[in-house]
Amino acid sequence: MLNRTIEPGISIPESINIIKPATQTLENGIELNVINAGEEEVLKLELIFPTRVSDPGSYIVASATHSLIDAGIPGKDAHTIAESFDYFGAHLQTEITPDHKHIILYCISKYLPDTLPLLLQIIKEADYPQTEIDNYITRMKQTLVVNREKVSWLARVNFNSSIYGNKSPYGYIPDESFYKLIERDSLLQNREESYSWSNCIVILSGRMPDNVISFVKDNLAAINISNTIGSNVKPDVEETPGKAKFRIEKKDAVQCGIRVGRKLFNKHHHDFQGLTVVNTILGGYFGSRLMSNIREDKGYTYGIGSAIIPNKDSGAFFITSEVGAQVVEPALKEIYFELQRLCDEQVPEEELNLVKNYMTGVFQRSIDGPFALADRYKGLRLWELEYDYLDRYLNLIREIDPGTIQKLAATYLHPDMMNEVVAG
Amino acid sequence: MIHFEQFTLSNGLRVFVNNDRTTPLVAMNVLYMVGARDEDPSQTGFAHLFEHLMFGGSVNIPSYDEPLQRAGGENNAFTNNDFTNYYLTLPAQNIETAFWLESDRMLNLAFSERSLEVQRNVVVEEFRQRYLNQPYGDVWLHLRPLAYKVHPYKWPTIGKEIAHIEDAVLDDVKQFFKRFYHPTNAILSLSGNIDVDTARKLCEKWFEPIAAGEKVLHELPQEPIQTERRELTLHKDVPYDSIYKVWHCGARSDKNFYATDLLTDILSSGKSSRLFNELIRKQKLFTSVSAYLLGDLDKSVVVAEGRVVKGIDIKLAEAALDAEIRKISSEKVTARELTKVKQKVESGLAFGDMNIANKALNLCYYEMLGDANLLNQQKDLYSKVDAGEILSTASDIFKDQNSSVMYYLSNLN
Repeated sequence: MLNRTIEPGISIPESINIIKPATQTLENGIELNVINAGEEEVLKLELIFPTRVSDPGSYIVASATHSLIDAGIPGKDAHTIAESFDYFGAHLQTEITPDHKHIILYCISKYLPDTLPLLLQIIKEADYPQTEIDNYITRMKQTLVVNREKVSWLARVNFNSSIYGNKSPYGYIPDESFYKLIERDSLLQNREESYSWSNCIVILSGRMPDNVISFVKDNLAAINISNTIGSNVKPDVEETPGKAKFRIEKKDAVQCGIRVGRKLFNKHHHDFQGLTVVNTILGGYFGSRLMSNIREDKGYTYGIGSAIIPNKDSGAFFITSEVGAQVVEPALKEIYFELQRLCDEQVPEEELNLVKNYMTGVFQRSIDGPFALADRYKGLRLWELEYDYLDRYLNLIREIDPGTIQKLAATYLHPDMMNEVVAG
Repeated sequence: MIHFEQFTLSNGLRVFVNNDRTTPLVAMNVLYMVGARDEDPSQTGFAHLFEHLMFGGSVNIPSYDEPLQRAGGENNAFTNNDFTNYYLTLPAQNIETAFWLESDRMLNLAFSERSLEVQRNVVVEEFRQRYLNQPYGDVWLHLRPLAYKVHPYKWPTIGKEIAHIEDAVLDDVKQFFKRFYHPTNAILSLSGNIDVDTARKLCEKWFEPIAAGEKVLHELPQEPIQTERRELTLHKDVPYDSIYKVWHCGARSDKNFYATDLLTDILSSGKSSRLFNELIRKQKLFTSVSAYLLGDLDKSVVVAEGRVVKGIDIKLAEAALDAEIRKISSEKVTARELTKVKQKVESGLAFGDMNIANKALNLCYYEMLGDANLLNQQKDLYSKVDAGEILSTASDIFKDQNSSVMYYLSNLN
């Protein structure tokens, strides 16, 4: 008779094998990284440029320049360009942060020669037709007004503002007046100055024949680097942002958005990796303390979690949730209770072991498949880290003990260090 | 092409295995053929609430999540109108933990008042977060009963109203489990680093001892053919007017599903699509617009929706949308447009096959449709569609008497 009360044995891998990219720097300075892996003949091509902005205004202009990169070139309008990618089943995506601009092409590998030349051409020749700019501004304004109706959005932007300052591209609160800055001339100028090919990092991942890789290499190598590299601009960040509580009113909201957190550091800090373990225990997985207490025990929310988000020069830690409007105070009380508990008490061995196994599993999933491998590499490359960083990380997960966890929590995550934003 | 093997246990549980040696992981998927359409009209939202209770511990295992996380695994679940799906991925060497956990909760749950009370609260907060506290969040709470008068698709998965969730009692939970959660009403699949012999041994060990259960007959009231246009106008505290139009169309297994899906792609898939190009880019009437097919197991609907630019009369915007609908119902699409949407589908299928959890889900899903082999036939079924079939399908669907229109107007202007 099968005894169903006995858990099957488990094991956690001692070492994990990671596929690394083949990296080469082309003569014109472009860095090409290739991860040829996986089964399906599909690929992802990501081009990454530095954003180089110091303030919200220049970030708004850079964002528009980047979003409208496919809005027209001489002789081809936005529709023609979109159709050229859609026809081959390719998908073009743009993303921007105050640190980096990403242009990502998803494509069936055999069609890359049909789509790449146009992709490179639009970056060089985007000419920003006024009609497309007008549409963009209309869309952005309407999106902003809709976002203001969302308590989660209000909590997020006001929290970012509280830690980075309203003059920072990380912390500004969007406002209609910003969109006046989006003029065709400034977009043209921004495109000219800010897509510096010699600082471009390219990550090509997926399963592809050699001729596709050579095609990418040849096309990138043929780019004539004419624009000069701008000086390294640092985003403006308030040195000592005020620690405070903010209450953003939104009439008739049945839930409130909550953010509790603080400014922190990025991956270069010696305690960053250790804090990711502390964060996982607190709010980084379904069985975390915040979820167990505030969702699974109290039923105050559909979801609550915490995260550490690094950027180029600093980073943030925060707890985020949307809770019933009638239980905001009890939910906040439990949030601070859990932070305080991490500082005051050692985490039980059993809980810590579970988290260690879980994090190792997350790591394995995070390198499964070529696109995941590419993202892992990107997470190193953009902070100028090497693969030994990941060895140290896996080692730290294995070695970290309850005393260290408690010390890290008390040093960085004490309730007194937190800003608090409630919107609703 | 996804290679898979299949076998059926003596209790009727169908099992599918895709052995993918390129990954150190395995995904397990368990699909139960029960969704919101199977609910009592006075207890809507129950299938979804039940999904939450499936994580409250089973007869021999007090916590579902803890052992899984300890094994380095992760899981989730979703409920829709037709089925409820549970999936987990974990390192291949720990796969037996998945068999242990999933078989125990198929065997029996540890029904508890406490778990029910907490999950009722959690789901009520989910209702508020996703449907009530978001601008435009309650659209489908209004659109479904406009489009469906009889069929249970007239309520959304979350439920018709919060009171239905608050009123759920433990006896209903037990009955629901007995009726729907058993091997006869489930499909199991595995994708990843596991071979079929290992899978078979583990299935025999953990799942085969479970009693078969009675076959579920989904005897649902079918929606009568709509004979006149329906209209609903709502005034809401949202910043911009929006329009939603729905037309009844065929079921997922109907022959013209593929033509219907492609015609909505021609209308709105990608920035080169007709609706984006005409209504957003050229005419500047909408800030967003989309057309899609729900693809339900029973007769489904095609939806076109858009958010109107501030200051534009919604009737003017609607007229431009209607003109595009008329065009696709009266003129053949071009050869290039057709090739384009087929290549987009091909691309979407190839990208979907990269993920083990997705492959496992698809095996179960197509088996539920009638045959897991359909998974590998999708590309062909799409590629066979011609322009004539798209035209005849469009002209069948897009009839005025087959439509329902909802004007979701801003109170704030």
